[in-house]
Amino acid sequence: MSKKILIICRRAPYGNPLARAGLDAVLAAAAFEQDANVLFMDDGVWQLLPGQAPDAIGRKSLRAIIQSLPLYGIETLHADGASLAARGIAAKELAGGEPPLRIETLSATALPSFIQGHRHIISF
Amino acid sequence: MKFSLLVLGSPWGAQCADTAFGFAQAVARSGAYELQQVFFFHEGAYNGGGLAVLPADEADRAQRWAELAKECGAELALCIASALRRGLLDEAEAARHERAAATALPGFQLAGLGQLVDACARCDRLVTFG
Repeated sequence: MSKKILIICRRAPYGNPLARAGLDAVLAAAAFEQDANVLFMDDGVWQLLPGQAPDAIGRKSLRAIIQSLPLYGIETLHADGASLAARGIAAKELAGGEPPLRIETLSATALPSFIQGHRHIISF
Repeated sequence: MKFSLLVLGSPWGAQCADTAFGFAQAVARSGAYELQQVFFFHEGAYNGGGLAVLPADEADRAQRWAELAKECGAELALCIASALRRGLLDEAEAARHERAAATALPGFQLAGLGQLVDACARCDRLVTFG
């Protein structure tokens, strides 16, 4: 029986390679048909911004990986609303791309029960 | 209860690797719990390096993981993508990529991220150190 896994991405996209490591773990969980969710919080919410152009620093776009998650069965992504607000990011800025991403913003009151609904939590 | 561990830090870059070892040892020797797998990901892959030479008053980190695993039957898995980019190769990978030597300590297996996912599915608790 598959158990529900939550992967929490908390790093800014290019400052720390753990950002990419977290997304790799999401892809692996999805490829092995696990029931997985991904939550972006703290500086991890920067990973969600569209229009990333990291070729200038010789890196690959993490947003491109995130954009592919629905193809692997992760159709709704989750973001911590307080982390977005603290960084002045409006949730509607994030959906861009084709097809638009479905991102559910979780309030501070909804967050604990969302996290509790998972069997395993892996934080990057 | 079955535990699996995920280690994200190197022995010299972060305290979490030594903390993970202490936790693993406590689980393995508890008599009540089982240590199923330790997955070394990202900088954690350095824990499996067999060529590091440490001062005489410090424990050989890779060696003591290997001994603990042998003692309790746990699997030690080095993420293959993390390990290859850090120059940690077993005999098979060294031959495949035409490198001069195997650098991972025997006892550590190179494994895909699927093995971490599998550990999640099989264990009762996955504990991350990183």
